[in-house]
Amino acid sequence: MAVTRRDPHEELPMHPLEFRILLVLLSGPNHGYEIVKEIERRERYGPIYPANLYRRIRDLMDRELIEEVSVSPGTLLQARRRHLAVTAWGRKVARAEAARLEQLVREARAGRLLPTTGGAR
Amino acid sequence: MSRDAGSRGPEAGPGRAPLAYRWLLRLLPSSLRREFGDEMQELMALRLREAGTRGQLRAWWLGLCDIVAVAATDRFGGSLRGPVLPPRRDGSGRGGMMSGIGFDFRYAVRTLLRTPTYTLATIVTLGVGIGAVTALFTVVNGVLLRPLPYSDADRLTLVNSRLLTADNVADWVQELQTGGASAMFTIGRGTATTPDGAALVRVMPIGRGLLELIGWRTVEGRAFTESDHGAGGAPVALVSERFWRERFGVTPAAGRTLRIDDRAYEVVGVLPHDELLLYRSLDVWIPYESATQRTGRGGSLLVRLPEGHTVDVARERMQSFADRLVTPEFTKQYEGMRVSTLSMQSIEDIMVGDVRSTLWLLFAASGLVLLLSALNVANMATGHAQTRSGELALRAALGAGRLRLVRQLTVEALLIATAGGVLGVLLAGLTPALLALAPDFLPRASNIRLDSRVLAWATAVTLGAVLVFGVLPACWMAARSERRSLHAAVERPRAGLRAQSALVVVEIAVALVLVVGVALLLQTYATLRPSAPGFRIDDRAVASFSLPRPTYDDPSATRRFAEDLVTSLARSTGARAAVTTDLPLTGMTAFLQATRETPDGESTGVHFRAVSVGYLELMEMRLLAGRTFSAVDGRPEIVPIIVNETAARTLWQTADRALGRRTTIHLRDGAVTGEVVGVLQDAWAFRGPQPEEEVFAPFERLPSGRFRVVLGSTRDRPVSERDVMTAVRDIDAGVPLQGFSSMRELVAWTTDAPRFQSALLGILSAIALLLAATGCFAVLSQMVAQRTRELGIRIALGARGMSIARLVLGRIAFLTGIGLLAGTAAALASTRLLESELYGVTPSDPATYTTAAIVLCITVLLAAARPLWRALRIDPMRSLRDSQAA
Repeated sequence: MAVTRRDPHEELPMHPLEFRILLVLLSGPNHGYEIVKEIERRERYGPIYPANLYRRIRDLMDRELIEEVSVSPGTLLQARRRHLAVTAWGRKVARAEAARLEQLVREARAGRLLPTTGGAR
Repeated sequence: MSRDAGSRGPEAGPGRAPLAYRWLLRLLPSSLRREFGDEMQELMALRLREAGTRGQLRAWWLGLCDIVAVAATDRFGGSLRGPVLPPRRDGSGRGGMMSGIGFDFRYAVRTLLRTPTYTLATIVTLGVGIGAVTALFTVVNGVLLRPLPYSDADRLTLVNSRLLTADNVADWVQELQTGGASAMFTIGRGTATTPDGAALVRVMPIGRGLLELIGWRTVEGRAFTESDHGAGGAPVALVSERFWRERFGVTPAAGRTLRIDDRAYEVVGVLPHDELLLYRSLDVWIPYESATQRTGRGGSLLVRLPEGHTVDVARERMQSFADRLVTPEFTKQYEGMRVSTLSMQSIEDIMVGDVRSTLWLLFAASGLVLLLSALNVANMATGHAQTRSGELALRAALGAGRLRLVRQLTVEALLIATAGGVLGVLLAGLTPALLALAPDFLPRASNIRLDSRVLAWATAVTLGAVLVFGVLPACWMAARSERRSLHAAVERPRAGLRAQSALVVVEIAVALVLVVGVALLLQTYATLRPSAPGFRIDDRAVASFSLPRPTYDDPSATRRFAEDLVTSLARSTGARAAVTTDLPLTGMTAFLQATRETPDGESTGVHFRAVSVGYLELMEMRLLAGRTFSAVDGRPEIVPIIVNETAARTLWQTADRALGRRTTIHLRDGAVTGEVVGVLQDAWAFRGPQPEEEVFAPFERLPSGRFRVVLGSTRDRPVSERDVMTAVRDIDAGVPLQGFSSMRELVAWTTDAPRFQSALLGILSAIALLLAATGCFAVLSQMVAQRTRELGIRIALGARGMSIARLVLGRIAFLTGIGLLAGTAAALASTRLLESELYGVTPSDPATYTTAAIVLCITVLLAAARPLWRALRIDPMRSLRDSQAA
């Protein structure tokens, strides 16, 4: 892929919702409706409303961080949904974002915002 | 579908969102909609389902914000990529949106400042409309909408009955099934000794538990205790905060002594409220039990009906109870009279029932004014937007989307409306001054003030006005500028003129409705003007009596009591006094009616009043012929009578020849023969100024146990209720004083209400006329401006001033004609609501309609003068040159 030459840091910082979408998709392909449910299940975030979510999804697709994948169609309802998965580039960007966030957490610990026990120091 | 979808297992979604949401999705870019539309609906359906019944509104609101935010970011720029424009936590990208809005505001301010006349005119027009409707809302809010200051006010009911006494009140309470939530009270007056001298105060003797019943607490000191209500309790009183502050000014009030009449009360506490029940303000409260020991009055019973009981049902049950209490003595006392044994009314009805319909009527009228001003501003905005169609088309050509242009115009409208709203609230702040026109008319007037609800109302009205005058024309303009080419947009459109013409028709119609309404009320007011009642209103006090039977069954005893009272009052107070069986306008008790026989043998009723010597003089009624009554009057078999002009005309066709005529008067106790000794000028009788036949006879000859004493009570030498009570006690301590008030209070209800209404409606209709004139002016100016070239050619070709005037005025005459027709129909339909408020004029009075139409025509002509002048002064050469240059 030609994108491998790009620097993932150009995509940082990520919007929190975009990062969360990536995180959900890291555990396997999914569609928008389930992504929302998963995000809201994992963390108190939201409620997420449709227009904003799908604009983010489309934007992530435009930036080739996620892509549409085909799964075996089950019910008619499932066929209408577009299943999404993280691209290799998306994985890199997510990793860079995670590292950025980790650095931030480290700084927060140094500033005694958080307890240092169990830290990565 | 959404309901059963959930049962299909975890994979199945919640179904499709409602149609409204699908419609809203159209705001989003079509690519996004095509790609994810179905899924978005699915997610929204989930959100709505999760929200439950109570959260629906919130979910819809968030869904709408979500769509608008995305649509705006998408269309008006603003990258989603963090580093460029950091989005908010929820990712709506409002940062980009706000900067766009900020730009719009700056641009709008600049645009509006460039056309100060237009801006000021729209702001003032809208401000007047919002001010009118907000002022009336302030009144409606204060009087009708704000809850009464009692606990469970909606269930508080007042029970009045001549059969209700302090002795049998327990039976009443039991029958009412209120579970003890009841208390007796009366309302009286007294003369308090204050640092500024004697002052008439409203005193309310209250029974046990009344304050608890209405949920009032003292702000200082304590309420009455059981021992205060006991038989041997020391005289104690509660005072109103306002009364004490105004009259004494010293704090604390508790522990001080207050002298009312000849009794010293210890003030034990202060009550915060200054409104209660029938009166707008009360000054002093004393225990009911100690007051009744002294005066022996009955009273009213305040009860809280059990939950779910209505006044009507309770009244029905209590009516039969009251009827069972009727004793033979009672029947005998009120023989021949229709006396109701029970009256039950909710407190709310008592306090505001009389003004409710009037206030809603005025509120509706102010709504019309607001509608007019919004239409007018829409009119101006349309005209203004047309002059800008070139600018808009240019911006559209340069790539501004339709939404962008709508937003720009809406922001301008919002700015104007906000300024108008602020002006309106300022105008509404003048409401108290308006209310000074009718100080005694409105109950709960102290509640009338600008509060958060009024401000919320003004805001809502302002935003509504933006919708009417701002967004709609803006959408229309933006759609047009998008459709048209630049060149076409510069050409002046005729469609806008059509819309404006329609607005003018509506304006004239609405103005006519208001003008007709106010003309009808003004006629009522002119008829009821207090300056011409034909008797003295100022400086007269009235005491009412109903002498106890059987002591006063003997007419000579009644006569003696009345004579003694008049003499005693004259001696003790120096005031002139006279007796009458009934006063004009009071209608508080059934009036005596004498029947007379007309020459053709039929009987009709006349108002019969037995008056003592000196009554006609004291009331300053004007004698046209003959004489008044004197101390020694007439032969025993003939009763001297005085008739008014109307009676003289009905009986003998002419007022001049009435003197010396005889007629038979049938009274309850039998017939008497009367001989006319004098003729009086017509005065207000029972129903106001409408001429009614009145016959006066000497009280000395035909006394009645129910009578009133009229007293000359001036400011220098006021006669108080106390004076009357003292005089009565000296003659017969067993006679209660039924009521005491000033003559002005008695007639106030007849005169104040129409004055208040016509003043308010007068202001509203003046505004309406002004607005209609502005509308006509705008349309005509616009028309003249648009047709300058055509008019110029006509003038160049030799058209005379007359034909130009016909051209210009013809259009407005046409619009006015349609407007007047529509307005007449609307007025005929709506003035029927006024019927009960009118006096001496019918709601469909042709003269009134004609006058109103003429007033409107004159207004339109005045508005047309300047545009017409401009049309006549068009220089053909210049207009042709200008149009070619364009």
